[in-house]
Amino acid sequence: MDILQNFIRLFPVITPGLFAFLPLILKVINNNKEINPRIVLSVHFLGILTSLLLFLLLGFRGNEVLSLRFDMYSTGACALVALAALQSLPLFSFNQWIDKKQFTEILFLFSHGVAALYVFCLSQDLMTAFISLEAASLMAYMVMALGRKESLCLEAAIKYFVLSSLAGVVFLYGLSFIFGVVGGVDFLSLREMEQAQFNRFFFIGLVFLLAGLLFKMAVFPFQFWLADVYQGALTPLTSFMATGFKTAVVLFVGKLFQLPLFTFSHHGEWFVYGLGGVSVLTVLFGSVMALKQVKLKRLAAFSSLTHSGYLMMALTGILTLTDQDFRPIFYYLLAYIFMTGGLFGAIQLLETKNSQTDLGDLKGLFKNQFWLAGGLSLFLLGLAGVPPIFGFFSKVAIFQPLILSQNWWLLFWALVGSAIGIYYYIKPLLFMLEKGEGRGFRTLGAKALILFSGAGALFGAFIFGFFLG
Amino acid sequence: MLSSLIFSPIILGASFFFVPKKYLKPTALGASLLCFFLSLGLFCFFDPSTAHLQMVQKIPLIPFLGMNYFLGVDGLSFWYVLLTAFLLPLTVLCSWKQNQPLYFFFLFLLCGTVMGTFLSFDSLLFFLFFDMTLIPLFFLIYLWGGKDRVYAAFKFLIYTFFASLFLLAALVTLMLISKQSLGYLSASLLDFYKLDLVFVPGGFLNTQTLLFFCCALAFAVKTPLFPFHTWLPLAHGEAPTAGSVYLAAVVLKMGTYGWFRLVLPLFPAASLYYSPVLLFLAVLGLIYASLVAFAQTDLKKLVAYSSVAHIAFVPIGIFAFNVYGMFGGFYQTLTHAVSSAGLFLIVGLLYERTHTREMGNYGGLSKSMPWCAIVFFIITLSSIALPLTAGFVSEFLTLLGSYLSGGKWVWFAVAGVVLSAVYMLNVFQKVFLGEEKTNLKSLGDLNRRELAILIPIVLLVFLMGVFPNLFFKYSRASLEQLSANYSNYQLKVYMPDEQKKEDIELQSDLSEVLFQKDSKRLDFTSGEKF
Repeated sequence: MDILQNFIRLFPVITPGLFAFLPLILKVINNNKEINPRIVLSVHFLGILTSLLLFLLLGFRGNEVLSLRFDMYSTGACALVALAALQSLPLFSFNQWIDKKQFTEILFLFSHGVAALYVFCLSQDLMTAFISLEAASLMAYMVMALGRKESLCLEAAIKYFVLSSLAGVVFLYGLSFIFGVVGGVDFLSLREMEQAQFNRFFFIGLVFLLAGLLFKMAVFPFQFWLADVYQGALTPLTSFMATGFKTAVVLFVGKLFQLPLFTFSHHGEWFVYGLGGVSVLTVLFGSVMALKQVKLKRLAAFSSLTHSGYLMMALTGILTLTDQDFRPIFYYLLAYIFMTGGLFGAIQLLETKNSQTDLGDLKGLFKNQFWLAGGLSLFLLGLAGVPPIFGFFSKVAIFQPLILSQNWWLLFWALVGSAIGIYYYIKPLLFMLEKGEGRGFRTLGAKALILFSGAGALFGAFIFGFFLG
Repeated sequence: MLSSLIFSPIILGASFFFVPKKYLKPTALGASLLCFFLSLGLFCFFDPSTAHLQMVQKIPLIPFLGMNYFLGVDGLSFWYVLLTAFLLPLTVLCSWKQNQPLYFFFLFLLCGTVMGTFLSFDSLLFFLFFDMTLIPLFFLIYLWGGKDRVYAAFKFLIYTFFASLFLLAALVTLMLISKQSLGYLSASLLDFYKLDLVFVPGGFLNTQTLLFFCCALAFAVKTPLFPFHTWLPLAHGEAPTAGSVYLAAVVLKMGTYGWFRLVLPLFPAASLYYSPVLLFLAVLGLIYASLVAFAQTDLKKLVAYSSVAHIAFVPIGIFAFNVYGMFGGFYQTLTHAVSSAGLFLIVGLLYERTHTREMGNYGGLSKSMPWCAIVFFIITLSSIALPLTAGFVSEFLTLLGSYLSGGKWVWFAVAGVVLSAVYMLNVFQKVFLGEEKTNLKSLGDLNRRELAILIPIVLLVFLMGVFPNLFFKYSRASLEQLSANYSNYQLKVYMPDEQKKEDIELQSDLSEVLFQKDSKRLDFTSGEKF
C-alpha cells in the first residue's frame, strides 16, 4: 500500500505530465494528424491548473516522498512555478513562429518541463535537484529548437544547449566535491555536518555548485547567454524561462541558504561579499545594457536580468540573518511573475510572423489597441517600481532583508538600479503615445490574458499581502 | 469624506475619456468645481482648536507590510488640501486651448495624488501618493511641454525619483525599527512619532542622522534647496502653464510638507544639530537664485528662479525652531503658492498672446493691457513682501523667527527680500512700462475667463495679507505643538558647556538626554545667544 500512498502524495507533481499524454494519444489515434490546437492547449492548461489547486489544497502537510518534501516553502515554490506556467502556456496559441505540425509535441514537452521543475522545487537532495533541473532544461532546449526553422531559434537553442550543459557539469562537479567531503548529498546530511568538515574542498564544491545555479539564474558573470537566448526562443518559452525557471532556481538557492553551509565557516563572509558583489554587478550591467536596447524583447530580457540582481541581493541579505524570513522573496517573485509574464504576453501579442517588435513599432498603440497598450504600460511601470502597482510593494518588501541585515551598500546600489530603471521602462511608453499605425491582436483570449496579468499586477499586492501577513 | 477628496478627481478625470470632445472643457470645469466644493466641506468638519488628527479613516490594507489605509487631517495638512482643490479649477480654466481628454486626465490625477500625499498618515501610503505624482507631471511636461521638453521631463523624473527612493529606504527602516520597539509591524506615522531614535552628535553612522539625511535629501530635492534645485527651472520652463502652476504651487509644497510632517517630529535632535547645514543651503539658495533670476531674459525662467528663491524662506523659518519661524515658514508655503501661481498664470497668458517669453520682446504692455498690468503689479508686490499683501506676513514672521533664534542668518535673508524687489520690479518695468512696442499694440486685455482665474488670486493676496489670523486659526494648534517640542530641548544640544559635551558623548543613546524636559530652558524672547 506504500506505493499507492506515495502515488497519491505525488499526484500534484505528475498531474501536468498525465494530462499531457491525453492530446498525444489522441493525435496517434487520429493517424498522426494535428488535432485542434485549442483543445490541446485547454487540456494542458487544465493539467497545470489542477496541479496548482492540488498543491494549494494538499501540499502544505510536510509529507515526505522519496527525496521530495512537501513543506510550506517548497510547495509555495511549486505554486509559483505553476502560476508562471499558466501565464506562459496560452501564449503558444498566439505564436506564429511555431511549427503547427508539432504543436502537440511541443506542449507535451512543455508540460513535462513544468513537472520536472516541480520536482526540482520539492527536492531535498542535490542529486535529485540536478537531474530534475537538467530534465527541465532539456525541455527548454528542445522546444527552442522545435520552433520554426528560423536562424534565431536555432542559434538560441544551440547556444543555450552548449552553455547550459556546461553549467550543469559545473554543478555536478561541485556536487562531487561535496559528496567527497560529507559522504552524502541529501539535505539531512548537509544539515548535520560538523565543523571539521568545512575544509577547502567543501568550499570549492560549494562555489562550483553556486556557479551552476547562478548560471541558470543568469547572474552577472554568467549572463552572456541571456539576451540572445531570450530573443531567439519562442516567446512563450522565453516567458516561462524568465518567470518559472527563474523562480525555481531562486527559491532553490534560498533553500540552500537555509542550510548551515555558509554561516558556519569563516568563508561565510566571503560568500556575502561575493554574492552581494555579483548581484550589484548584475543590477548595474542589466540596467546599463537595457538603456540602449531597441528591441522590446531584448529590453525585457535585460529587465529580467536586473530583477535577478535584486533577488540575489535580498537572498544575500537573508543569508546573514539568524531568523530567516523568506516571505519578501515570495512576495517579490509573485509581483515579478505577474508583471514579467504580462510583459512577455504583450510582446507575444505584438509579434508578427516576420519580425519582433522594435520600440518604434509601438507607435500609435494607445490609439489603436488601448487595452494592450494600457496593460503593457502597467507592466513596465510596475517593473520600474512605480506605485501603486505590485512592483512598488514588492520593492518595499525586498528592502526589508537588506535593511535588517544592515547591508547598506547593497541597498544603495538597489536604489541606483531602480533610478536608472525608470528611464528605460518609461521609454516604450513614450513611443506608444506617439502617433502611428499600431499593431496587435484584438481577440478575446488576448484580452483575457492581459486582464489576468494586469489584475495580478494591480491587486496582487493586497491579496497576497493579506495571505502572507 | 477624505477618501472622496482623493478619489473624486481621479475618477472624474478618468471619465473624461467617455465625454464627447465638444463638452470636454465644460465637463472638466464642472468636475474641478465639484472637487473644490467637496474640499470646502472640511470647514464644516474640522475642529481648529486641537492638534489631534481628525476625520480619521483606518483600514488594514497590506498586513504583510504593516500598511494601512490611514487618512486624516490636521492643522498642518488642512490648508494644503484646500490649496490643491482651489487650484484645480484655475488650472482647468488656464488650459482652455487644450482639447485632449488625456491632458485633463493627467491634471486631475495629479490633483488626486497630491491630495493623497497631504491626507495620508501611513508612511507607505504617503510615499505611494508622493511618488505617483511623478507620472502625471512627467507626461504633462513630456507631451505638452516646450521645445526642450524631453530633457526637462526626464531630468525631473529621474532626479526626483532617485531622491524619493532614499525616502522610501528611510521609511522601510523606520518600519523595521518600530517593529523592534513596538512589537508589531506598522507603517503608521503616529507609531513612528513614538520612536526614540539613537542620535550621536557629530557621528554619521547612527540611526537618526542617517535617516535624517535620507529624508532630507528627498525633501531637499522636492522643495527644492540650493544645490538640488536644477531640475526645477528647467521643468518650469518647459511645462505647460497648468503644469507650472501645479508644480510651483502644490508639488513643491509636498517637499515643504515633508519637513513639517516627517523630518521635524521624527528626527528632532538631528534637525537641531544639522540645522546650520540646511540654513546655509537655504540662504545660499536664496541669494543665488535671486541673482540668477535677475540675470534671466526668459520670463518664465525668471519666475521659476524667483520661486526657488522664495521657497528658501521656508527652511529659514522652520529651522529657527521657534513659534514665529514655524508660523512664518508655514505661511510662506501658502503665500508662495498663491503668488507664484499668479505669476505663472500671467506669464502663461502673455505667452498665449505673443508666443514669446523673451523679456526684450515686451515693453509698455500697460497701455494695451491695463488690467493685466494691475494684477501683475499686485502679485509682484506680494512677492516682494509689501505690507497688506500676503508675502509681507510670511516673510516678516520668518525673519522675526530667524532673528530671535540667534540672528546669524537673518541678515542674508533680508538681503534676499531686497534682491527680490530688485528683480521683480525690474521685470515689471521692462514688460509693462516704458515705450510701447508696435507689435504689441493690438493685444487685447484680459478676457472674462482670464479675469475669472486671476481675481480669486488677487483676492487671496489681500485676504492673506490683511487677515492672516483667518488662516492661522486652523493651523495654530498643530504648529504650536510642533514648535513647543523644540523649545523644550533646544538648549541641550547647543550647550557650549564642556561638562555637558562630555555627558553627551558618554551617552550612546542620546535620545534620553535630549528628551528630558528640565531646567535651563531658553526663552527665545530674551535674545540670549548660543
